[in-house]
Amino acid sequence: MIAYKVLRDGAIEPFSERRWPAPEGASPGEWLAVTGQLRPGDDALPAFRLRDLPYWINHELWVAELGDEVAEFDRLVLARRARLLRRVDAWDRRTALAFSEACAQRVRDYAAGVLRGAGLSDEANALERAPSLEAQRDAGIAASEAATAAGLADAATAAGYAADAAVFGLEPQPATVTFIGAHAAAIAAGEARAVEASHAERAWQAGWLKERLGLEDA
Amino acid sequence: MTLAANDLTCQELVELVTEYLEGSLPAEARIEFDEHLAMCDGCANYLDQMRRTIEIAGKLTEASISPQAQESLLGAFRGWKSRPQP
Repeated sequence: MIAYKVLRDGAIEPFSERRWPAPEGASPGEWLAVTGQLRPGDDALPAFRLRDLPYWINHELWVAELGDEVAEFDRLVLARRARLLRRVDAWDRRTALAFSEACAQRVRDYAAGVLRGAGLSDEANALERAPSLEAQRDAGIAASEAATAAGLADAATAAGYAADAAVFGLEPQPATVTFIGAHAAAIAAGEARAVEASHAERAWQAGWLKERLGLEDA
Repeated sequence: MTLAANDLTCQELVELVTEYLEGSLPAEARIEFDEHLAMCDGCANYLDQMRRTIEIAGKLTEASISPQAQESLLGAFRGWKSRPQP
């Protein structure tokens, strides 16, 4: 099975701190093998399908080959053997910033919709007109404070999400911005459609990565 | 189930950290825990500190504690045991 590996700088796996052997030239990296059970928390090798990436995206993105024995879970796959085939060079800091900004702008739009629905049109307009993430942060904070003062809890939360998404988008921390995006979509959709909207947002995020990075479904 | 119930909060993560480190979290909870770490630097740092504390404390032996420190700790435990329970 071909899947994706998300690693920190230096080909280091988050949480386990395991260093993955990088490919040399055209040759794949060395196989890693473990003997644990194929279940989360055991000594298994995690990897991701395209649709899982928005949850885990980190500094480095790699294409990996998994050995025969693979267990699939909701948001990851586990294998006993795996190796890195090639790095997705298009995923760099600049792309991470662009992705984070695109996700944060969607949070801004969701928040503006919620604010307008709650009767705070001036705050919604100010948020929508924010020309940068810094401006979005400031407009989000102002709108959240106005909504709180008016006793409009959902609007305050949504505007707060817009500010948070801008803050984490500027760093960038894409996995945090995608998380905020999923929640912002949910709150904008209302309780009855929250889960559906959240999943749709995650699918949009994966689609962005697919298109911009030229990824294939894995 | 609501969306909020699916996502772990920072407080819930702190409450689950012992089970996480012992490897006794159920599969789905483990994934949610890791997912939270992937997007929350604060909790990732907290977990790292917990791991380091356990690593350092695990190297302590009875012989490596001074008699005064042993006496002080035993006194504290005795006091804790004899304290009336609420």
